[in-house]
Amino acid sequence: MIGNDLIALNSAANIKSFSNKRYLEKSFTEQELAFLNENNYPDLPQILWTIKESAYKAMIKLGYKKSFCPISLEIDTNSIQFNFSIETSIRYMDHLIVAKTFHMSDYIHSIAATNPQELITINFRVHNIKPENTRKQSTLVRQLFISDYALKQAVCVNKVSVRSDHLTYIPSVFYDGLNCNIDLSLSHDDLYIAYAYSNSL
Amino acid sequence: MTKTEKEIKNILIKYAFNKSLVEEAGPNANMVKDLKINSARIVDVVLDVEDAFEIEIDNQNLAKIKTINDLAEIIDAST
Repeated sequence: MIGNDLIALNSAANIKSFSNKRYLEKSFTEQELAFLNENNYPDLPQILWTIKESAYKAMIKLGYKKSFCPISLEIDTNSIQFNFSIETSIRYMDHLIVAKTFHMSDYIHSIAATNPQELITINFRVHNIKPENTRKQSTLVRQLFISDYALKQAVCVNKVSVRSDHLTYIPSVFYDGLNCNIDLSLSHDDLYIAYAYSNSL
Repeated sequence: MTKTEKEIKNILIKYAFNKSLVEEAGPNANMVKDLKINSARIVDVVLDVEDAFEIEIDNQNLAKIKTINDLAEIIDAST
């Protein structure tokens, strides 16, 4: 199962939250807080956040019903190496999830998978939207996925649809009314929308 | 809607893109999915609730919060 998450770095709300000590203490374990203090790397709290939320999104597809409680996901900070893409693992209850994070100038995007082999098969895209469209993020990210997916599969775009389960909100992809059994994850924040999908559901 | 739920809504409105979604929400509205509040803001909501009600919400309870009612139950049990 896969998940993805992104954080817009220029969002005023994010800047405020991630510079608040109480916010960090509510979100990160003692080990992660020590890692933050020891490493003066830009946007590190946001990096850790997207890793955790992408991992959580993968986990809920395994049937976990708990809300997102960031402190309950433990990132293996020893495995983090600062590159353009950061690979790490996350422990959540008795599961180990792997994640890959892309630190861009305006946003951070993480993809995660409950199976390490899945991580390399994930298709994903991040897209910048116009400020007047921030209220339509949810619709736009679905449209972006549908048009990209139809193009890649060479199928009729009008026959592809995305429906979210009314209880779990997990999105599923349908073609001509039939479930395509694609593992899809959608994400958006401020001026950015992103999808990630894997064919191996 | 209880007094606690109304106070929660006053906090949620600060973080909602679409204020009317919060104003019209019932107690069982999911804060992220129905009210479209960014998941990164839920921790902010919890911190504001802690300040407003002078309580502390532990991690166990944090993992239970999905709806306005979930939060109201935790507050009512703590005050």
